[in-house]
Amino acid sequence: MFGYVQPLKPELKVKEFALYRGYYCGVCKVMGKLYGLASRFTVTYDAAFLALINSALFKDEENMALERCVVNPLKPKPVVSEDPTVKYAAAVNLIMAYYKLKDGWQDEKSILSLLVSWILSPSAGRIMSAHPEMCQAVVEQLSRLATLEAGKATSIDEAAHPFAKLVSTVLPAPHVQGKQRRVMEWLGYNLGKWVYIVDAYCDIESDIASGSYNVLAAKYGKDVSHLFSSSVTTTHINGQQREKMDTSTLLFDYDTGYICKRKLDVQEDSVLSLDGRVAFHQDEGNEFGRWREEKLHSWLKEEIYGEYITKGGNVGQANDATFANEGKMRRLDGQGVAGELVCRGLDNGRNNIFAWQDKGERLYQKGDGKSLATYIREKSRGEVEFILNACLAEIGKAYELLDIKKNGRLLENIIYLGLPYKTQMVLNERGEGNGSIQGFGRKAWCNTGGNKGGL
Amino acid sequence: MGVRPGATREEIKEAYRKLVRKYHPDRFAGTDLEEVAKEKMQEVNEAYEILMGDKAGNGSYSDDSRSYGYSSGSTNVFQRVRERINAGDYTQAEALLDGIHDRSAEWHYLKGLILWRKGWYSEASSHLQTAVNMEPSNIEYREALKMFNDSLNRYRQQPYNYGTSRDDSDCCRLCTALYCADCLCECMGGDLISCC
Repeated sequence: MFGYVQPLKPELKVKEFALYRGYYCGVCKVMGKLYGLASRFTVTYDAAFLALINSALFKDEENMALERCVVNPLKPKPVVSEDPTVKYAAAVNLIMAYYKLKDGWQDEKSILSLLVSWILSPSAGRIMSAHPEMCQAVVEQLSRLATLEAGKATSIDEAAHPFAKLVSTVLPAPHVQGKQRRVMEWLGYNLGKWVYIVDAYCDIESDIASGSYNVLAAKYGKDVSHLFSSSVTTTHINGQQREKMDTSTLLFDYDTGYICKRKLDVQEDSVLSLDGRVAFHQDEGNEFGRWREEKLHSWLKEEIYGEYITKGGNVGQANDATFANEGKMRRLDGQGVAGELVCRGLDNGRNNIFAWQDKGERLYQKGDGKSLATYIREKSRGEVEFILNACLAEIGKAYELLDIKKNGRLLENIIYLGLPYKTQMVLNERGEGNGSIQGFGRKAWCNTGGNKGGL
Repeated sequence: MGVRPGATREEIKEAYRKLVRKYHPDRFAGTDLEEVAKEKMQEVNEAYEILMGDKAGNGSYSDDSRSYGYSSGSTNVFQRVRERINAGDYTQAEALLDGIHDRSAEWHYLKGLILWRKGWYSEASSHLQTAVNMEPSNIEYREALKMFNDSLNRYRQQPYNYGTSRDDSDCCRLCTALYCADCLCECMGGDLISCC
């Protein structure tokens, strides 16, 4: 997972914090022992939570021991050792990290991911033979996720489903059975959904920049016509008011719903109107022009060149031409008489893969890339907040039905404070550790929306 | 039940009431947790009946489980879908429902129930809302929507209130402030809000 499941530290007692760290260190140590030093770098807070909640379903106390660690070799720290739930959490953590790295290699061609996943692969193989059903479920759900992403699913519920299912299968340890397992599965489903959506909401900027799939961008990134208004200047041509764009400004493509960048070689005379049509104002003798269209979202990965030739167009008059994607243009002149613009695709091979930053050419000025993300955030916030709160409600209810006594305070902190706090932080876009540590102390409970990540 | 040995009848009753409040299936409506809660409730009832001896069943919670079978005028297919839902076979129910092209209010209602069960909250919400909008007079649909919204809001009543309700509390605070100001004015012989 991604390290979103954490307690709210200012609300923890020191002993609870020590316990939490004991689990975290326990997972880390076990990973070092069983899967090698490299695997220790993949430990997440989620794994600590996994060990903690599974261990809480066991009646007997965990085995705490003071142990030294490479990070701090002088001072021994309490560590949960020789615990089956900690071992299970370590296995899950490694499998998740392994597939995440493999995914990172396939998606972004990151050499580091390949290298680390190669180092981890023997350990992952061992876990696969130890927990075959779990690993099979993980692989199955991840492939479903990949299918959904390839299909650009626009339903948040649908997109989050595979990951939620994945978490629901890995959350309960093998020893958890019966009623408790059912409740844990439901808790896991909602937790997974929560994690997926929180992650999607956090990553809008980077996903847009890298062109990766993001369900929120796919759903809410379509209607972005207002974004290019700033780059449009108004000019008057033949007495008509038209918006003029320079050669490399953005255009909202109503056919596909994505922002396009259109380059018009007929520089001074090309005029774009805001309704998605392109108008050409041609001087005498300048009937030929070229157009180039680029999709900004790299998942479309299209770059289309075309050439237009006016047939019987009135020279010197503004003609509107509607772009179609396949290199054909219809022209409507001012009187509504339809002429024809014949376009020829110049780049049939379409080898030019265009991303937002292509060969150092930054399309967007810095502010524009941000404003798209901000826009998507604003639009999606309502639905995201609704689903996240629904997930939190269900997580809370499931937790109640588990009837956990052991380590209850710590788990309650994570579920009733840590998760909602994180939700608020993500929704309000407040970075952890910024600002003063308000609310720490007496009145902290009524002020959990405040900034206190600093601790 | 979490009572000490030799507890009085009052203590047992109190503990029982607490547990009923905690495990009441209505609190967990709509999802898989509802069944677990029902089973827990059953256990609590049994324990209570044993502890209270001869007055068995006196004042104990009875399971008035909701059933989705009584809708007049529903066509055969919807009846079958309801049967599948009652049997807990949600996958089959959804498959049946997806085969229907006539998207009536009842279709949206049943779809909403299934999606709720599945944990697709956003879609469930819009389907239930659509059902209510299409047939505003249907009590069954309205109740389901209300239950859905209630169940998702319940989290905020946790002892650890995390303060998302800040928006509404501003409104309340305004009302309280106006009320106080009015009372104060009236004490001094004046009146801020003439109607009260």
